[in-house]
Amino acid sequence: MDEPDIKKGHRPRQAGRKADKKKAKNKHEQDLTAKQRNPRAFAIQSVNKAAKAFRRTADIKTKKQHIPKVDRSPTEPPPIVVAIVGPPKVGKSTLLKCLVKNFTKQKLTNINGPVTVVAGKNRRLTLIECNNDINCMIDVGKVADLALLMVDAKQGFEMEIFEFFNICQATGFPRCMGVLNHLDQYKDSKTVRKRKKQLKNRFEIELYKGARLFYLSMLVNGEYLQNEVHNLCRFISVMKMTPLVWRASHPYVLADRMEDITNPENIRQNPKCDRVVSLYGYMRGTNMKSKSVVHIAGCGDYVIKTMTYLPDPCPTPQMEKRRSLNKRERLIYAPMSGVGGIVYDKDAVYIDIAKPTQEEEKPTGLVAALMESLKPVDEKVKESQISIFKGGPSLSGSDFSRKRHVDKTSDDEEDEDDEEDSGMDTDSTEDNDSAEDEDDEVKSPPRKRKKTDPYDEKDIDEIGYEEEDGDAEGMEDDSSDVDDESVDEMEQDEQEDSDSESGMLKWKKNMFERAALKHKNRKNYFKMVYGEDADDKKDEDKDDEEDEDLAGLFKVLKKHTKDNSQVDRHEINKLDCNRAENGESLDLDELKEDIADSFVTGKWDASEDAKARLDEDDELFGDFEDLETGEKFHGTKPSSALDSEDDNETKEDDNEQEGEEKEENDEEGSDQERPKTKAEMTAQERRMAKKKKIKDLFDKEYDNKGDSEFYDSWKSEMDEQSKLNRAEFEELPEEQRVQFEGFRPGMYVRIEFDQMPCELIENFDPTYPIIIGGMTNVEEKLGYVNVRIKKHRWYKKILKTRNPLILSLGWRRFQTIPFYYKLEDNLRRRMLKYTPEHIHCHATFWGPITPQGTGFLAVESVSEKTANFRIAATGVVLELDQSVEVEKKLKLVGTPLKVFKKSAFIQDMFTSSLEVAKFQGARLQTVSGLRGQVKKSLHTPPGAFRATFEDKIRMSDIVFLKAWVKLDIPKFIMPVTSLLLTPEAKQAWLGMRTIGQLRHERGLAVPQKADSAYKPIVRPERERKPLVIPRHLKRVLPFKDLPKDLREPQQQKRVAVVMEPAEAKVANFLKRVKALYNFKAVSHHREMRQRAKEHQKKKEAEEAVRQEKLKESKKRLHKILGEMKKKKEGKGGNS
Amino acid sequence: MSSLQFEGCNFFRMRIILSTLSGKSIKISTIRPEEDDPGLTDFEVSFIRLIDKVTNGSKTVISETGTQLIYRPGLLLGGKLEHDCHPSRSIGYYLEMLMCLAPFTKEPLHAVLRGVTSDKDDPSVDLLKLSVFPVLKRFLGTDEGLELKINKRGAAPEGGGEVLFTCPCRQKLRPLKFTQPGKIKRIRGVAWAVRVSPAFVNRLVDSARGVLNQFLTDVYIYTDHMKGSQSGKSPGFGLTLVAETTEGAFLAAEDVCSARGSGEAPTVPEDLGRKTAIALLKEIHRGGCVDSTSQGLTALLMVLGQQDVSKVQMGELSPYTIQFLRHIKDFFQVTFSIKVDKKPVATKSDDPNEEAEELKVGADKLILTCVGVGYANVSKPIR
Repeated sequence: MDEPDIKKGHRPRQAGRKADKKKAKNKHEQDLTAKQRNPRAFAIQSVNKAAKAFRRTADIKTKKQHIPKVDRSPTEPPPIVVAIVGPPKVGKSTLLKCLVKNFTKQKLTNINGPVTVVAGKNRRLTLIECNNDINCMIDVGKVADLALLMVDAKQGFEMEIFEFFNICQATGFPRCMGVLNHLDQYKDSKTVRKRKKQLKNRFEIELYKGARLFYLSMLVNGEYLQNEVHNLCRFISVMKMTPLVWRASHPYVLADRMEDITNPENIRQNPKCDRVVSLYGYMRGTNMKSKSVVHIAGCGDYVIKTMTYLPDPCPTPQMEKRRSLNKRERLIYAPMSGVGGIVYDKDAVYIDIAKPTQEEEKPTGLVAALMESLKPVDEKVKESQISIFKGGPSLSGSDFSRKRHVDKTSDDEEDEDDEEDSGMDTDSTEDNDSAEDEDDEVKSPPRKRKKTDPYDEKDIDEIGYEEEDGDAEGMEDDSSDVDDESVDEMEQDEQEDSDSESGMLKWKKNMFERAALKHKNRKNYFKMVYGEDADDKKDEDKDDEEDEDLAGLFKVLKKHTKDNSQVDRHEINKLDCNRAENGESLDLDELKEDIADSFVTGKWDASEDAKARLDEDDELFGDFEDLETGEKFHGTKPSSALDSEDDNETKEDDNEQEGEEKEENDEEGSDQERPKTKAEMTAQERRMAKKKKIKDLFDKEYDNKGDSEFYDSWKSEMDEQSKLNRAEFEELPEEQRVQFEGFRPGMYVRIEFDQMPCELIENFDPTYPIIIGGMTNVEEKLGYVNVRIKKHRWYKKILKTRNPLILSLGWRRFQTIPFYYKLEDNLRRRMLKYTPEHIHCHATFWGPITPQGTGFLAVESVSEKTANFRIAATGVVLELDQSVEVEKKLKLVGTPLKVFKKSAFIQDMFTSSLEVAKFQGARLQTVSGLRGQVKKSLHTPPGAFRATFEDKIRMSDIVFLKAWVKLDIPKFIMPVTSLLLTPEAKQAWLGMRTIGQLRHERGLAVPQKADSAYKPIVRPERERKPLVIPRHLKRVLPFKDLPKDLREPQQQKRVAVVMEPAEAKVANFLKRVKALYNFKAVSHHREMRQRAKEHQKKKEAEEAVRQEKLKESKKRLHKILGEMKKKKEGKGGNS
Repeated sequence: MSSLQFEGCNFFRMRIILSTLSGKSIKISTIRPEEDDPGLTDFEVSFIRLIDKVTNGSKTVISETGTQLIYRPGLLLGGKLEHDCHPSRSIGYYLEMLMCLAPFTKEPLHAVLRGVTSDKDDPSVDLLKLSVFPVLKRFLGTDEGLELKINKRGAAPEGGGEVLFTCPCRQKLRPLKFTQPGKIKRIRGVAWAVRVSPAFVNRLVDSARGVLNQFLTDVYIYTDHMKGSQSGKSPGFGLTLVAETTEGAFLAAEDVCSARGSGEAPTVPEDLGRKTAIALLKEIHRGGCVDSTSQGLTALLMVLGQQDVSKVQMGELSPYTIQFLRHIKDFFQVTFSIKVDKKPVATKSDDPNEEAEELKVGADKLILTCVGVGYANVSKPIR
């Protein structure tokens, strides 16, 4: 009974509502990952597979990476060039009008040349229409950022579209977008859908999968549907452009305005005189330098006379928050079509100042235009000459300005002068006058103030000096005020400086002085190199010359009494040597004092020192930094305390100078208070922290970066460079910036050219784009260009060496004579007479030096009217040189004249002993394969020579000499000057023609050389010599081996009888007689046979009768005899 | 097509190579018209011959009197070449300019130059190797294939030296950013002597060290006494010193003994050693990331880079460099921005009122900045 009461233990519910509740309450979580739980499943099963997988991932990763490039895209990009391309009558102009209308809400009726519109907050577009001249298409392909390819849905893709694709391909392929038009010509929606699909497929094949094709369904009131155009516009304004190599490395301007600013008087005197032309447009590509050589496509190479930037006539609205543009911001600039304030006529420019509303819309454009149109007048004033006295010296407008300029310094009334000066400024430098005006305004007050200064005289000097600067270059515009003051004060300070310094104010002044000094220094160094101002000097020189001219009758021998020219003369012929004389003769002690800190043993720079140390600290001892307070850290040398203890540990990591530096810092910072936190740490803590830090460093290096470290560092290097490029000159005023950098893309520039052909103006056609393409330095030169070329597979003909070909290479279009060749295995360039049909070959031609890797395309004619594909070939530049060796094979053939043992005399190979001399030692070969060598020429016959061979040759052998002849590639280049041609001639430019064309035109037959003609090969049957078997051999031969004379007996040859005519007549007569006789004989014979037959018959009949009679008689006889015998027997018997 | 006109024979080499690089033809007139022997001299003609060997298709027309020269440049060829430099100038005269051209040749340059290896006027081959090579290396990216081997030394006046210069060619150069020269951590040098007593070099080293050890302990000067066939035709000795900074800038200076038959007093090695050491200190005083010898080359290669900003710190510009910059503007339309670099200040104490103390690093340092013209080597073929 005392059994303990065993109670049942609690058994929790395994299932049911409660169990579920409990489960939900404390969810069991697997704390091990699948990989940890089941490592075997994740282990490498096969090494090969793992390697493959790894390689694959690495491949995928690497494929995503692009070669990092420095991003040189401008901060404010130029307008994007949108070109509308397509066959005629497809609706290009209508689309252009619709686009313009959509962007600007203005309807333009007559569009000529490029139209620049604002498309969005930070996007502008330059719209151009491309006509169907292949010259124009090529040029447009070079500048277009986006091409809208108009396609007639009914017609399908026409040749122009395909040609344009190939043009684009050669220039790096800008973006292309198709626009399908005339869809309303199909009535049935199903066919429309089918057609769309069909064309889209073809378009994608031609471009890439997913290439965009827009549809314009119908025309309403001569315009496309608004929403369709709107969609297209939206698409254009968000499209990203592809950066192209050629354009990224070359500056170019698509001129949207052209002005002839030649003196009208000159034109009146000689209408064909060279023109002074100024072209306007947005800079694109990269920076362009003033005074550089440019190529105007379709015109030629020209040197820029002057280049200035203008205020942007169509700026992007500067706004941040608002989303859409208001009406005022929807600018349009199209000077060639008369929008933007200017209307062009043949020989005049009209400024449109009609509607005030319009004026409001584009104030900048109008102002710019006004300012520009002032220019010629101003120049005229400058250039005009007045002679006061007859025969006296003439005064020019520029003289006036200079005189006034000179006067200025001596004038006391500065203020007035100033104003005049500024007035002059506005006249002379038309483009930056607004800026200068401002400057002047700013300048004037301090000057007035300065008048009260005690150093008045100096001031005046200073101002004179400064003004010269301002006029000359505008270099010091920004800071000239400060300059003046600082210079003054510096002078003051210099005096005071000699006294011993004391007090706070003193050092402040010192600082100022130093700043001024620095400022002055900067100016000096720049001027020391680039001179005060080149223009000023020239002017002075001119003055001098004029003076001498004025001196009159006596010609002053220019013996250069002036000092500077004497020095110059000496200077220019000094010894050319790069050894800088360290002019200052400092002795050792002074030097020692001056350069003490240049050595690692010297003091260290604050930035270098503390900051560098901090960074270093950050790397190694970052943890410490976290613990301590910021202020303390800044105030003291943080690491110095640490170093003293950790010196031993860090020594391996640090190089020697750092060690030294530390030691020094220790000494310096020893008296200052140290961070307590560090001091409080125990050595162990410190060590732990350091270990952790080092581990982190290690991890950072090896874990996180992975294998993309190289790529990342490369990329970051490029990013850094592009940041530097952007930041370096950003703060400078625009004028200086232009001087250092050149004209940046995005600027609106005016480029003036001298000596332009008058045809450019006279035959100006706004539908042809004017492209001013900048060139890098060597590109203006000519040389042999080696290219890889391929005949286009759609081109019908193959190309022939020496036939002229029109190439579009770089900015240029020119005609040249290519030589096609094949690079053989031994790197010999072997000429090909024709291009191969389906593979690449090489070619070389005389042309402009263009960087390697530039693409080009070739056409045979730009004037041809054909339905066929016009692009003849495409290719890429490989190498440039000043000489090139293309060779072709030449086989010289000779025959033996006389054969000795191993040498022989060969003739007919050369014509003179001189030729032989040139080929002495050359390799020879006979048909049978015997090799030999040319030895020496013989006297007779001329051109014969002695040769040796490896064995005796036969008289019947033919001897070859295989030689390679270098070809002369003609230095022919002919630019296609399509801009200079009259409208009729534009479509008919021929250039050099092939000989074939010339012959065809003149109806001449191709001259055939008799020797070159192919003739049937006649090979004489070889006569074999009879087999002669010696007699003694014959004797012993068995019969079967003996030669048997099995020949048929020879028939007697009949001799043809040739008779005299008389004889022939006789013979003929005889023959006839004979024939007659023969005939007669035959007939006689027949008759005779007949007769004989009859006679026979008769005879037979007679015979038969006779026989009958005989038979009768015999019968009778036998009867008698029988009777007689019977009688006898009867008698005898009876007897 | 476009052509530039100059006067006088000074800066002759510079004009020729800039013309070659830019493709612009030049006309130089009034070359020594008033001297006893007017016109071009032997070494200039020798230089033209060398250029002719390096280029293909260049054309030089010299007038009958020799006072006028028209040069139409060709394309740079490179490859293997040998040239006997006229001994009136040292090899440095020729090599200096060859170094400017070498990165842009069709094939890597492998030039054997014979003549005087060092004289008073021009940088010696040692100097070029020690000071210009580090600069060239920064532009090329590596120094693989960049070599200057002195096979024989030849002192002025007769020469008889031979050097081998090899340089790789590049499609494009790298932009240079080098504004922190760092501090000088070591000084190296070469003391050479030919056809004189071997003790001379040791005397040179000792006297130079005597000066330099006051600044730095890490001074090591190699001695190079060449004998026999390697020693050229004339006796001579010289010392080239180079100071290397923590950031890899090299500042070099040199001096040679006066040539035999030059009419000057014979040089004492001790004097020469001391003079050279002071010249080095002066060079350090001038300072910068590149020394005065390579200033011109640095500026040129900065301009001939890609269209990126290059920035370099230099000491005060030598007259030669100034002319170089002017000529660069003529040929390439590139203007340098020249600013005085602010002087580094020493670590200051926490008293904000006290003025920061400027470090004593010698003369003004200039920051030269330019944008490259996007120059590409058009000679080098692609396959």
